[in-house]
Amino acid sequence: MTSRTVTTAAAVERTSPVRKSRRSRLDFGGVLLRIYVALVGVFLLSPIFIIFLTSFTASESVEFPPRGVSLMWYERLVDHLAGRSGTKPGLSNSILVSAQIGLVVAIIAVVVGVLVAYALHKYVFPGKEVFRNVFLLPLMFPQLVIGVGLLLVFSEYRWFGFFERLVLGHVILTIPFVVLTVGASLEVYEEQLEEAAMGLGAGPVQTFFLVTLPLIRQGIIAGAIFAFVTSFTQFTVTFFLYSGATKPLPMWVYEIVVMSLDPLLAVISILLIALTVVVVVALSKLVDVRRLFGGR
Amino acid sequence: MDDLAVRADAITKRFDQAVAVDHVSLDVYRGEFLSFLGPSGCGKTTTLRMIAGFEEPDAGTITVMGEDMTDRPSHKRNLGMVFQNYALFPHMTVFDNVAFGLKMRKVGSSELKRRVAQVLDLVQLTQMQQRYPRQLSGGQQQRVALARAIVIEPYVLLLDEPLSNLDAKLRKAMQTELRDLQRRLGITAIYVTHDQEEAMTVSDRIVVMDHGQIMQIGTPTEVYRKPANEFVAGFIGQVNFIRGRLEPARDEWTFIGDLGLVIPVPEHAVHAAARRTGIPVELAVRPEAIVITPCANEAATAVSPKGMITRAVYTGASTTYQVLLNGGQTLQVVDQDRPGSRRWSEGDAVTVVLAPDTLYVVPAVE
Repeated sequence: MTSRTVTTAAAVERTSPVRKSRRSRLDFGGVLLRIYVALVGVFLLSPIFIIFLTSFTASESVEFPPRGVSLMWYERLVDHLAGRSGTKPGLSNSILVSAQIGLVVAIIAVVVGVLVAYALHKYVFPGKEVFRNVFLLPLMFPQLVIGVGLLLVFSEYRWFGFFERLVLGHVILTIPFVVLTVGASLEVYEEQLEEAAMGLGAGPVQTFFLVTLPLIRQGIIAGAIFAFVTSFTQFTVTFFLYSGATKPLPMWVYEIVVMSLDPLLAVISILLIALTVVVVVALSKLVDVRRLFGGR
Repeated sequence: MDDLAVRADAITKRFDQAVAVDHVSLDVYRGEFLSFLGPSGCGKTTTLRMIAGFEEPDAGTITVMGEDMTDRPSHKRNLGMVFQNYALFPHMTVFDNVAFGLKMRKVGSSELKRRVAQVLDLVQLTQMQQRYPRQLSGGQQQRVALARAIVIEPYVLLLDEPLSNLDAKLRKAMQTELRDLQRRLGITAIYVTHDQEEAMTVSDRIVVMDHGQIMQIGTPTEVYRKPANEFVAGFIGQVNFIRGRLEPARDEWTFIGDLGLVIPVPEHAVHAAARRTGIPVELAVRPEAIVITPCANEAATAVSPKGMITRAVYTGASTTYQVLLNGGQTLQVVDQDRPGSRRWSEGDAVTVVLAPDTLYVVPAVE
């Protein structure tokens, strides 16, 4: 009787410690990972968080932690939008200018980008790699250099008005995005569909519009949205190409910063961030973003 | 020339340094079902694509319905192509997919609707017409692809291994359906496959290809019973090869196997290219044509060598035996399981009967 009990007890002892350590080993790793991710998240998001809080401050100056809670700076923004006296003029105009430029830039970048991406995908020709790199170059070039360079050329030859110059500058910056996103769509789309369409009597142009375009729609939309947002928030190149009358939003903000540093900037920042978030969410619904950036 | 649907004249295609299609010439007759058969890389798909206009031949001409199409782009050839992976337009409904070719031909709305409805009925997919390709099964997608190619009433229907993505049972069912449809419509069809059983099932004639060249063109019976060479004999069905040479006899030939087998062979059982004394030839005998009988006490005769069963595999409808002849030759024999047929076991001593009219002699490959 005794020996059996001892054996049973030993058997139980043998099993439970093993189970316990297996459980705690898993937990330990999982907890560490969670802490790490949380820290990274906090680090990345803290500036936005700080700005968010600052925008609700009741004081006249930027300080953290903010003193008091108030919507007065949001009201101040509305004042600026309405152009009431005592405010820096031109906010609504700047927003309008940025939107107009963004739209034109998106359209041009998409048209050119689609053609370039299609050519790179479909054809083999001498100098193809050089061609590809030329169109991806603006991604790697310092924007300062692009801005100064364009300014020098435009001033020297007195080409274009300021609106056109800004459009051109932004198009240069955004075409690579479109080429990449449309290129990714072309990678996954079924080549043979074009042959199927041609076999059924569709000429090359018809095939492009009826079959290819609808199927790379996601890449095109993603590229267009990237282009618009990049143009809307673009600073460096814009800085060298704008004028008093043609003043995109980032320039208006810059001028306010130069004059005074007040929580109005926090409010504007929050609104721009909100715009970007909305756009990215819309994008993720339309496009498989992971694939776009090389994932699976 | 009137009953000629397609004529390919010495067409050649090179990819980099490799020759994919090497001076291939063939005629396709109106209303026939012709298959291109061969192993992967033999050039059958490339030949089909040249006829379709998706590849440009480096040399040679292609004539369809009497017109020279060699330089004509694919969208101007009026041919109906069915692809291996269907290539249905994913952003269009079944109806729109099928109607696409008619829209390109600017067919009027009411006639278009009528013709699409007619062909969807033919492939039994009328209920699916508002669905999208991703909502259909493989077999259904295949039928949509077929309908899409047929509805435009093409000169020739081109099919590139259309059934290879389907499971075995569906495949067999579709083979007969396809054949019936083709017969009913009277449409000329060119079919590419690597499956010799499939080619034998559906075709009026088969073009057997290897390494870019045509090995033989003939009816299923011709390529099976009278293969032009070792490749064709070995590619279609199972075959036993016995190597040897021929000696002329009075009004026939005597085959002398390297391992000692001596068999008389009638003239018609020797391929023209093999009718020469002394050159290495292969005697081809199909496993199902060999009969195994009990080992009688008479000495082995020329066409009834003695041997021993070395393997027996029962597969339900038949049993496959491996027989080692006393001279050293190994033969595969397939015995249909019939009521009263005897089942042999390993180690049994047997006599193997080779009936002369089941033999065929072809030139040997060096």
